[in-house]
Amino acid sequence: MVTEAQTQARTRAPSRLSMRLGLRGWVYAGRYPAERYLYILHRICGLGLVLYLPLHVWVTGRRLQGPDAWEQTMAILSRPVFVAGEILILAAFVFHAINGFRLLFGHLGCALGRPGHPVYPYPVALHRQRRMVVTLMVLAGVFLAAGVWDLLTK
Amino acid sequence: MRESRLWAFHLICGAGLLVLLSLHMGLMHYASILALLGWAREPVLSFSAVADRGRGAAWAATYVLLLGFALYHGLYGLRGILGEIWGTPRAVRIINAGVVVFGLVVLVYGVAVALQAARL
Repeated sequence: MVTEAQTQARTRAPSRLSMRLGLRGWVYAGRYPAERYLYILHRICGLGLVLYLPLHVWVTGRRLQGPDAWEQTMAILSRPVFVAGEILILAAFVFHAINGFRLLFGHLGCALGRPGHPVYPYPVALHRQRRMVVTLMVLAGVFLAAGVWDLLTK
Repeated sequence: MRESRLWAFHLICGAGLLVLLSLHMGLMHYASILALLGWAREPVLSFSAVADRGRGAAWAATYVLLLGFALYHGLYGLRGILGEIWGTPRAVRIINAGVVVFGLVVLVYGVAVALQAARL
């Protein structure tokens, strides 16, 4: 026999928090297309960049202390660990900028294709964009390689 | 309506960043390539080069605009991500206040640096 409390518990709408996938949902919640993973990487790169920003502002402020303080700061930043960090920041910037351009382009309704009748196999905007996605990611790789070359040959 | 305006400004700042930050990164991180093309002189990170760039009013204004765009765009994104993780109304209020205070502190410091650097 089902009690009234059990019936209420079954019919109660799940709470807002219980419907969340949380951070696990970033990685997997079914069959994600490649663009979803680009979006996740976009967020991770954005987080890295926003955390780096105050540090960068502080470093640029060191020039107010004079040439000695500036050169001392630059000497510290030329250590391998900071150069590796700079490469990561550069990679994050290049990816975030180029993928952001793609997202902005999509928001403006570009490269989504014309709307059509829902006839199987259904046309999907993501598939129409796939060639652009690949081109932009190759472009990101070229910019990153050029930037790393510049950093390592200084 | 308020949220859609904030979101639209986030996109506008993103578009502004695409231009200004690409210019900044191009000058700072692609200097060797630009020098090969005859468009820049090296080294870009020496004290004299940095002080020279900071002196002009146009450069100072560009840096302040760049900082404003970056802070708004970045902190709006951070607010969205934190709001997804901790979505209770109280947590959202704390996150909103936190990003505004943090953004203002960094903005005030950055503007002070840009203004003082213009007088170097």
